[in-house]
Amino acid sequence: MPGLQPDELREATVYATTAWKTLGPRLEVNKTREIYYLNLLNRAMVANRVVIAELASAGTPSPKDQWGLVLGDEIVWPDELNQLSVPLYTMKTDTASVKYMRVSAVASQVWTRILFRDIP
Amino acid sequence: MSASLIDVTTTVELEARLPFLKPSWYFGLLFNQGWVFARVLAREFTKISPYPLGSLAALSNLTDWNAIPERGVVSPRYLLMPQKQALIYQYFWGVTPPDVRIFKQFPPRTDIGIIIDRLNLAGDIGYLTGRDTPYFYPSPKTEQFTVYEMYATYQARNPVNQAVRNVLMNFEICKYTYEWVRDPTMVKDFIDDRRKVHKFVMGPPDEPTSAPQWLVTDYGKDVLAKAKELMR
Repeated sequence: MPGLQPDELREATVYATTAWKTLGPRLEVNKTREIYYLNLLNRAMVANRVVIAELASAGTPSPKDQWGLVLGDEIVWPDELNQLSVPLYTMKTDTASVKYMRVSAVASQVWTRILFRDIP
Repeated sequence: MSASLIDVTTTVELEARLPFLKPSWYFGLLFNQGWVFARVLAREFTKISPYPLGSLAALSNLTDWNAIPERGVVSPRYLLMPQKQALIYQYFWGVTPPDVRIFKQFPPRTDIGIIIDRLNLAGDIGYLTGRDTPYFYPSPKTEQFTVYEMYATYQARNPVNQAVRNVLMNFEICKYTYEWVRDPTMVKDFIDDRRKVHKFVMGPPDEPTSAPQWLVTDYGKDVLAKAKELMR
């Protein structure tokens, strides 16, 4: 895959709760989404756990990753992005179905922000 | 990928990457009537940047093909079309955001880049994205020559399911003054590639567009006919 271009990354934000929330737009068919940057802020007054998952157009989201957050914790990952950065997560679609990125927090109230790009 | 994406607008870097012409170089344009050849007398670099095509809703395209008109005037003229016969323009373009697909018609209503059918904006054929031709780093694939009374039009398509706030294009342009080359020996050498010449096809290679009337008259109908004969 080509390296990152300066104007390439797009932003998506969501306030994660116990219910699944969609993070970012729908991923169209024949595409790959690469997530390059993740920012989590725990605003619940307790320790928390965030689940990042992907969802086909129907069914149960399948978890990709989990992040433990202590009270008031903030996670910024990675510290720096450059043209040689590799994605944290990838998500691929086939010729017929679309996908969504989903996020939830066990104790609710986690501010979530990603930078991503969609490539063919 | 190149480490320097920022300092690409110096003339040296531009010329190293993009086939701009220098004074005294020869170039040829293929029209329906045949090749016309000319020699560059003088040149001037210029650019249009940014040129906004506007916003695009998710999975949609522009309402109309865009001929890159002047902005903010009552009767706009086309910026990429020379305003007089004495000038010929050569330009390359880049686009941002990188997801956006740009389609081209040259001349207007003649699809460029088709394979079997006409251009389908919702399809996956015949476009360049900002990855093929980055905004600050135009690709040689985007090359276009324009003469007086001839211009290209562009269409943008957003293939992702999120609105694009503004599609921006960057045009790197070089204006040339020129003199026609009509000498049959030289024309023959150009056609056979025995002399250094930069050739460009005006439109699809199987059906190049007709030259504007002023050009046919100016270059000479008989010279064009002779050139066509030499091509065989």
